[in-house]
Parts: sequence; C-alpha cells; structure tokens
Amino acid sequence: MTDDQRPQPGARRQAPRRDPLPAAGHGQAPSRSLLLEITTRVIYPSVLVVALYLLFAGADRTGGGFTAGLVIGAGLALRFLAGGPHEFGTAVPVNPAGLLGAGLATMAGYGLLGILGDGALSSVTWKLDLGVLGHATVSSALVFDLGVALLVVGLVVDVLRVMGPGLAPDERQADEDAP
Amino acid sequence: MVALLLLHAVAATITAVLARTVGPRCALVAALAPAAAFGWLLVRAPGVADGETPATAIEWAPSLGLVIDLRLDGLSLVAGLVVTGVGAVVLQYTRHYVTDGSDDGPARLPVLLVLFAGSMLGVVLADHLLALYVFWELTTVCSFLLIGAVDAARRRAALQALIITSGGGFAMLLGLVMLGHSAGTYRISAIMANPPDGGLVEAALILVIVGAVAKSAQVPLTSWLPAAMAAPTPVSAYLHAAAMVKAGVYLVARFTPAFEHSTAWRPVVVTVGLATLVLAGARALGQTDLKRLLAYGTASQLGLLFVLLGAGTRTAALAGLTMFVAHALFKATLFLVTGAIEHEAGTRDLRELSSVRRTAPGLVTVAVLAGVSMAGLPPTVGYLGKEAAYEAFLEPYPGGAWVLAGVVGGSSLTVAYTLRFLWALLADRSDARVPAHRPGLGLTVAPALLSVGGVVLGITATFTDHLARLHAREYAEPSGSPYELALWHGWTPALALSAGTIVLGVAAFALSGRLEPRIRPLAAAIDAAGRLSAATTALVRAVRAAVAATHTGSVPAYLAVVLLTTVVAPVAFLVAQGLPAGPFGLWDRAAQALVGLATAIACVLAAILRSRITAVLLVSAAGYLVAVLFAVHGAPDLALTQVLVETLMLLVILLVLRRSGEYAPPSPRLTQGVRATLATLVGLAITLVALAVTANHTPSRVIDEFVTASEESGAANIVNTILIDVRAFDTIGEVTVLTVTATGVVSLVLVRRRTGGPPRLTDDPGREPQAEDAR
Repeated sequence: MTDDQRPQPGARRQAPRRDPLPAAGHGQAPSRSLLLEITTRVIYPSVLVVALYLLFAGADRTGGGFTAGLVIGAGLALRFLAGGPHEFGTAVPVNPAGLLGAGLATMAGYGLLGILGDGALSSVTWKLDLGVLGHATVSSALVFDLGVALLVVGLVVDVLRVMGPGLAPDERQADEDAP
Repeated sequence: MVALLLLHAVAATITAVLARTVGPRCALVAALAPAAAFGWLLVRAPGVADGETPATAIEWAPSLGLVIDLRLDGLSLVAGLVVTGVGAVVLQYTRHYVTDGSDDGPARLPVLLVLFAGSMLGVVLADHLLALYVFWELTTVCSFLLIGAVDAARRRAALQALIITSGGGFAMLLGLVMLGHSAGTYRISAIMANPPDGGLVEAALILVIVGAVAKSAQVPLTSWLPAAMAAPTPVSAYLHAAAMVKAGVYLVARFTPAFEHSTAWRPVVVTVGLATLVLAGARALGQTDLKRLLAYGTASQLGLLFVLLGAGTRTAALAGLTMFVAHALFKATLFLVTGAIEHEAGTRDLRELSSVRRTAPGLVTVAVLAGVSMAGLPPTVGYLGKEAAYEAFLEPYPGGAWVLAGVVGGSSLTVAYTLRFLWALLADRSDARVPAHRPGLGLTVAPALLSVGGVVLGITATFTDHLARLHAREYAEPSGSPYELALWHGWTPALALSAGTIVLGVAAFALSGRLEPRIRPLAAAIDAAGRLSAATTALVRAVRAAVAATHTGSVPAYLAVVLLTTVVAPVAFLVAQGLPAGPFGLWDRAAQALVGLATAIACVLAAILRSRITAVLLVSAAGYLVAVLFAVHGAPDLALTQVLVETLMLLVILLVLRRSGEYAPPSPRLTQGVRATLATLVGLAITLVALAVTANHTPSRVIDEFVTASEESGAANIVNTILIDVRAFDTIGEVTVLTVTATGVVSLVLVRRRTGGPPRLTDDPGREPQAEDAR
C-alpha cells in the first residue's frame, strides 16, 4: 500500500451508509420519508432498552411482560412503517410462529420445573446484595414474564406481516383484478 | 410406575436422536421401553395374583389440586402385558419394515409408536378419572400423527379418526366429570369400591359408553377404522388391532364390576356389542382388501368383547379377558403378515394375490395358526375363549337366548371371514400377482412369536385360566363349581355350539361367493354407519339453509344482533331485580370531567364524520382518553397497557383501511336512524349496568390472599404478581388464546398457505430498487 492509501489516523474508515435503515430501499417502497427513517434509526435501540426495563421493573413498578412485549412490538411497527416489509423482515429474521412457540415453551417449561419445588408453577424469590447497586429481590417468575413477552412479540409480528404493505403475490393479483 | 412412563418418553427422544446415525435400527432401541415395561409387569405379576395392588400418586400441582394416581391391579396387569408385549414385537417388525425410506425419515414410526405405547400404558395404569382422560387423548393424538398426512386419502382418514375418537372423548370427559362429581372423588378405585347411583350417574355412564364406542369403532361409529387402514401396517397392527381400540374395551371392563346394576349400562353395552359383532362381521365377509377385511373383523371382535366384558357375570368376564388376549395375539399377527405380503407382492387385494403359500410358506403357516385361533378351533387360546363365551350365556342370564344367538351368529361370520382371508393366502390363481420373493426373517419373527404365543396359551389352559381370573375375581362366584378354562370339558352344549359355529361358518364362506352380490347391498343398507351418513347429509343441508337465511354477510347486521343482545339481556335482568342504582355524583375531580367531555366529543365526531381515517383516529383518541382516565383513577398498569394496545390496534386498522376508499358512502336515512337508536340504547344500557354494579359493590374475597402472596415474594406490583405468580395458570390459558388468535388471523388472511415469515433482504437478490420504482 502506498502512503496515500494507508488509513490515516482520525480519518473515517469507510464511506457513510446511504440508507439509515438496513433494508429501507429494497422492494417496492413508493415514497420514503427520510425524517421517519432517521428518527426510527435513532429511537429503535432506546425502544428496546425501555422494553427491557419494563420487563425487569414489572415486579415493583408499572410494567411487566405484556407491556414489554407490546413496546417491542411498537418499535418493530415503527421499523415496518419506515422501511417497508423487507425492513421488517430484517428486523425480525425469525419465523413469528417460532416466537409464539418459544414463548409458550418457556412458560410451560418454567411451570413444569416447579414440580421439583412446591408444585407446578411455583416460584422462588432470591434476595441479592449487589454492593454499590444496593439490594435487589428477584423472583423466578421473571422467566414466566419473559415467555409472555416473547409470545406477545410473536403475535404482533404475525399480525403486522399479513396486514402490511407486503402483500402475498396471489393476493396482489386478486386486488388488481377487483375494481 | 412413573419411571416406566417416563422411560417411554426418554426412549422416544433417544430414538429420534439416534435415527440419523443408525437408521432403521433405532426401532430396536425404541423397543427396549415397552420390553422393559413388559418385564416389570411380569415381575409384579405374582404379587398382583395374590391380591396386592401397588399404587403411586404424583402430586404435581398441589396448589391447583392436581394429582396423577397410578395403580396396578389384575385388569391393568393383563392389559398392560398385552400392550407392552405386542408393542415390543411390533417395534422389532418396524425395524425391518421401514427399510425403503418412506414416510419422512426412519425415525417417525418408531418414535411415535413408543410414545403411543407409553400413553396406552398410562391409560391402563391410571387410577384417576382425569389422568385416564389425558392418556386416552394422548393415544388419539398419537394415532392421528401415525396415520399421517402423506397424501389426501391418508389425511382424510387421519382427520376422520381424530374427529370421531376425540368427539367421543369429549362426551366421555363430560361423563367422567359428572361421575367424579357424583361420587365426590376422582379416584377410580374409590369409585369402584363405592359406586354412586342416581339419574346423573346414569347419564354419565351413557356418555362414557359413547366415548368407548367411538374409541373401539363400534356401531354406529365404525367408519373410521376401515378408513384408518390407509396407515402403514405396524400402525394398523398395534394401534388399530391390539392397543388403541382396546381402550374402549378396557373402560367397559373397568367400569362393569361396579355399575352392572345400573339400568343403562348393561343393556346398552351388550346391545351395541352384539350389533357390531354381527354387522361388522357381515361387512368383513364382503371385503376384497385384506386390511379392510381385518379392520371389520376387528370391529366385530371388539363387539364380542363388549358383550363379554359388559355382561357382568364371572364366566363372561373370564371369557372376555381370554378373548382380549387372544384377539390381540391373532389380529396383530394377521396384520403383520398382510404387511409383509404387501411389502413383497405390492398388493393386498385378495383377488390379485396368488401362490403366496409357495413363495412364503413360513409366513402362511404363521397366518394359518392365527386364523385357527381367530376361528376358535382347538388347541388355541381363541378356542378357550369361545367355549367360555358360550358357557357364559348358557348359564341363566336375562335375555341370554338372544345374546347366545347373536354370539353364535357372529362367531360363524368370524369363521367365514377367516376362511376368506386364509383362502387368499392358500389359493393359487393363474392370472394373479405373485409375491416377488420370500419376506425375510426379520418380518416373519414378529408374527410368528405372536401366533405361537396364541397356541401356547391355548395348550397351557390352566395358566391362561389363572391369567383371566385376575379380572374375573372381581365378580361374585356362582353357586356350584366355578367355570375353568380347559381344552376339554366333556360333551357339553358349549362344545356342540362350537361345532355348530364352525359348520355354519364354512357354509357361509362357501355360499358367500353366490350370496355376495345380494349380501353387500343388504349389509350396506342395514349398516348404521351408512344410514348415519344419510342422516348427516340431511342435517348438513338443514344447517346450510339456516345459515344462508341468518348470515347475511353484512358486518353491521351482525354487530346489530350482538349489540341488541347486549342491551336486552342485562337490562331485562336488572329490571327483574328492580333497577338497583345507588346515589351517584357527576365527578369527583375536575380532571375526570374534562376527560369525559373530551371523550364524548371525540365519539360524537367519529360517528358523524365520513372520512374513514379521521374517524378511526378519533376513536383511538377516545381510547387514549380512557387510558388517561385509568391513570387518573390510580391504575397505572392498566393505563400503560391500554395506551400500547390502542396504538397497535390503530396501526393495524389503518393498514387494513388502506384498501378501502377514503370516504364512506352515505347511508340511507332509515339505516342511519336505526343505527343511531341502537347506539343510544347501548349507551343507556351500559350506563344502567355500570350504576347497578357500583351500587352493589361487594369487596373482593381473594384480595387478602393476593396481598400476602405478593408480600411473600417481595414484589410491590400486585397486578403483576397476580398475573405471573399467583394466577399464572390463568395466564397460560390467556396466552394460549393469543396464540390461537394469531394463527387464526394469519390463516384467514393467507388462506392458501402460511408463509415462513416476513420477506428478508436475501429473499430476492435479483431485483433492483430502481427497476421497481420505474414500474
């Protein structure tokens, strides 16, 4: 490599990305709103963090598994609106039925594990001393809440992908035929 | 006992894992589980013969009061031995049957068969009514999966079997719950020791009989069993001959000692059994497909078992248990032989088979031994059972003459169709298909073992007698010497009847060729299943007419009906109570008044405006304002959930509305008037109900329990604790509803197929965005 080509300290390593969202330009997006795309890009990680907070805070404050799942669903809906069905697919690269099943399996597995304790669906509470961070009480029912959140996300993804702009090919035919 | 049941599940997992490395041999690994259960039962047999009844109880959810009781007694022992023994043998047969890589992988059949064996073992060991039901339905599920969905015919057969057997299962569940409720306990052994009586119990017993009838393919629910013959042979041999269909018989045997005195039980069971014995036997005589012949034969023999085990006398029970074992042995053998021949010859139509006895002599000998047992000739166990059956109804019995006539007739038909089956194997037809080559030793060992077992049990009649007595001892011994199974009783009327049966059977077979064209339409005409389908067609037509009349397809019309019911029913109830409505004020805080006013304005505007999107947005605004109301009232969890659900709902509605026009067309004045009236009525009704409820507010009875529970777990959010901890079981039910909803929505929209997931970047690499925009 010549001196010009060797990467200079402080210089940008790569050209900036053209699309704020990974798959926004793909497919048949008729009109793209740059404002919406950039806002989504900025907000989306925070949405996920809020959802995680709601999941853990549900024990003592407002929150819980249902609301955490709904918040994640809202974030995914935002990516859907901003970038279209392909963006949505990149955001959720798994089969939504798998999410539904994973949620149910987590809940059922947690419930059956309880047989080893007080009986099915019993919970255990642990009190932890985290030193600088203070005391925390964690209940094993958090696993159950996680299952609920997974299931709600699966539900939202499943409903959005069939209702959204990404029509299935044979449906699009039917739509074009109708006046 | 619990370990045995779990062993089957473990064996299934191991088999599934091993299938990739060892191929079809994994079936032998799977065979270890039922073989181990067989061994365990043999070890326990002497103890049970002496009168011990080992039992365990698994308290798996004490807070919900759920417990699984398991108990081993004489009937469970014999049924368990049959189920596990035949299971192990069939799994060995499967190892040689699946060599041609059919049916998606070599693991599917063995895994499902061993799971089924475990479920069936659970049915016979269960001592709790609901545990019995759960294992019962597990066998139904296994049967559905085993019949499979490879092509349309099999899918239809599997669905038919599922619908009929689980429909009967629902009726049975209702009956079991009623029974448990009347008896005050759900433990079967307690109910048998102290049977309840009364009208409710009679109705419950009828429902239980319906379940048994559906499971054992008795008249009028026979049709699923011949259809299920589309399944592979090991499945037919195990499920539909030796095990699953025997579950109904097991239920009859289990309940008869306690309920033989009920007015409904004995007549219904014996009548159904007799009808099936004769009708299915007649149908079997007219079949050309060997498996369907055996299927109708199975239904007929199960009818005989219903008669014997439901009759309620010691000798009949002795005969019944002997025939239970005998039928499993000879029927499974014949199915396995048919499968082996079909494997080699490519057909199981008896008009086409020829020279089987030359190409596969060993197999034919085995089949002949089994056929001898089926026809009831000495020295097989089938003969012992038939003799005992005749003896049972030669003893004084109400309506015994009719029953005896039916049994003799049915047994003659059995002899006739046995001859028909064997003739297919023994005859030579010049222009028919010959089996390609002799079936290997692997396919012959299993049926040989079973048929030789039938002969051995017949020769060692005292041993068989001890075995059958394990159940017959539930009944009172008659005066005089009790009947014992033996090969020779002397010149008894029963012997004459046996001889007569064989003569009649041979005559029926010989004449069947000539009478066949006349018998078949007669049999089909009197077949209740056929008449049932005519009745079903009429019912379907009537239902369709009713649906066409009431379902206009207009959503506003449906909504109007629903809302009208919402108005009328509670208001009528309240008016009957005298319209209790306590004192009420307009608002407690100014914030409530403002929110209420804003909500009212939003709703009125949403009703008036014709722009669809604006109207939807206003409805959502009303929803958000209600969330504010929740927050003001001190329910933050509710408010948060309301806001989130409202947002997502708004999004989905807007996405759907994209396909409709922007403005709703104007409705005629009359419709608008009707809708406005209805809406006002609904509003007034709900207001009345809300006032009445708040006036009669009673404090919650469970709130203290919830508060203690949440304090114990150290959580401050009671709502969340209730959802995921105290009432977690309810939450599981609710999220199951969510799953079904999601699947339903997707299936309704994508009517043709359920795609894998949202499209991804990698899905269509060749399409450029610019080309799309240019279109």
